[in-house]
Amino acid sequence: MTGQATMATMVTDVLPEIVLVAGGVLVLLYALLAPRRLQGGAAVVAMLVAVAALTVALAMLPGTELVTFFGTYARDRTALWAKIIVLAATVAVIGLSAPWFRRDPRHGEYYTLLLFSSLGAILLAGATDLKELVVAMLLSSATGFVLSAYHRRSSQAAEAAIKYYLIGALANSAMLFGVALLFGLAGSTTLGGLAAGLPSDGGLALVIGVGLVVVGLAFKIGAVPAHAWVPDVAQGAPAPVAAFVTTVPKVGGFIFLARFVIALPPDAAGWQPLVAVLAAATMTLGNLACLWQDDLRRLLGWSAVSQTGYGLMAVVALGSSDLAVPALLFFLLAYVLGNLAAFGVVVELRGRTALADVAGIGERRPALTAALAISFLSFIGVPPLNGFVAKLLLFLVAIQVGYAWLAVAAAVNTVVSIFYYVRVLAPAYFGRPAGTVAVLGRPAASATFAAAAAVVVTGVAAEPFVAAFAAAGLVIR
Amino acid sequence: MSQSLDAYLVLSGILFAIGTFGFLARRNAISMLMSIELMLNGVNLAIVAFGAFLPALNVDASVIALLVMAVAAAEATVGLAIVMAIYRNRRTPLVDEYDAMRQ
Repeated sequence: MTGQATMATMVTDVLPEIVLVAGGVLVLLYALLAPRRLQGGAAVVAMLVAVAALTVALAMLPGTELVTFFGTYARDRTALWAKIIVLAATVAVIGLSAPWFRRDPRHGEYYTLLLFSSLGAILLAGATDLKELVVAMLLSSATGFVLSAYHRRSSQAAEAAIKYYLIGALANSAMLFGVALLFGLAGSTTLGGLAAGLPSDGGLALVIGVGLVVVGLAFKIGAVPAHAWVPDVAQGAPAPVAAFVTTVPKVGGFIFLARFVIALPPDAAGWQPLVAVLAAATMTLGNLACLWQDDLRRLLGWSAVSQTGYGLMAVVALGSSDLAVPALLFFLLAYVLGNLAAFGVVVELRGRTALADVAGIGERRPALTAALAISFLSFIGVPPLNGFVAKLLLFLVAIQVGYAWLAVAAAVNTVVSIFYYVRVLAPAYFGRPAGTVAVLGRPAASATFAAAAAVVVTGVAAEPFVAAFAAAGLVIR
Repeated sequence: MSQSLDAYLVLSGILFAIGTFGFLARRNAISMLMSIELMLNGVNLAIVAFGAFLPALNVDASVIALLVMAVAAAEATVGLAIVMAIYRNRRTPLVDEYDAMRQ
């Protein structure tokens, strides 16, 4: 009897996940049964499902933090905030997708894939077991590949998808080998078991195991050495999908990486310098590739890579600084909102992406151009936008744990990044418009403006968010 | 059956390395998919060997091995579908010719 009771309470720990699974199936059934002219209704159903899951996650925030399902799944506030960010982003992406796919005759299933993909990211954020990592990575990646190729007659989308897939399959296989090694070394796959069972002098096998798992997660968050897919997907995939796969899986990947590194024995495998070097390489490489980029979507892809580099500074500080978890969460919030606003502008401009197409839109579409400017200024870190608070926290934690050189590298990169963001914004405001600027429609515009407004609001009123994130624990057992 | 766990781990490492080499050296997308399968077989051999030689890991190892097979199957399905999609667009399976977006 007690076993049944515990199972019942455990089920309430994963309510948002259950809502997403059931909702995803519901959307699929709707898409199967609805006639072609009603396929757009799938977006409405998916939106309701995502909002329901978001509400449940918000309601779970005051609960106690624990690891449920026999040490395999964390129900802490870090995971819940990650779920909230993921689901809010999913709602925005559904808004962007509805007008984009309106002419596609069979786009109902698209929303099922979207919901399952955000479920994969959510599972990653809560996973405290390597088996669960494997499954969550598969769910999040496989749906991401299919979403990228959704315009299957588009040669660019297919090219983006195959590059995404090949890099993902290689990184995933590497990660599985790492999982096998860590399993053999520790005799367990739960993170608690790794923390207890991994020998601190594990030698080469431990270093290789940890390194390979980090490579797999680097693919998910778009960091060096598995970052090459980000610009291709940003440019070639359908624009709402690009907005989705450059933001949502990253939240899950970052949170699992955070849990993974605090489970490692202190000083073992030298993960701290490893992540620091990856951070510096990621931000620098992303920035350099942006400098002379003439394609707005590709520029957003490379800028997403450089932003990942900044975020990794918080991971370096984990375990040594109390501010590391709030810095990571606030960075994810700021990054996701900024990126959604920027890609939202691209979607609203009907996917037009050459820098020449952006010239002079400030005159014709002032609100849309303001959204683009807000997101770019937030990426640079201009107060009072939320990107400023995120960078402040990240620099602070890097210096706190003795990685001042990393903070200096990030500061230099930030200064360099002003160049390419201004290279887009200046012609947008001062260039001559080439003609009328066609836009997509109201749902996409609303989602874009909501994201841009959130960038401002969470920047001006950052204190309650930082305080809430500071109360979030990162439990592994 | 050899009595040494190390022998199995070395073999699994060799399988994984051959797969990695094949993935990096081949230009044909189908060959790259097959190389991925070889890498995953290497992974599974290591996991099953751990389970067979360390009695405490027996159950866990079987479960992980099944999961890896599921991953291999799901990834191959999606991969083949994407290769089909791009083959219809470009009429070539050679990945170094998929370079329309490189700048």
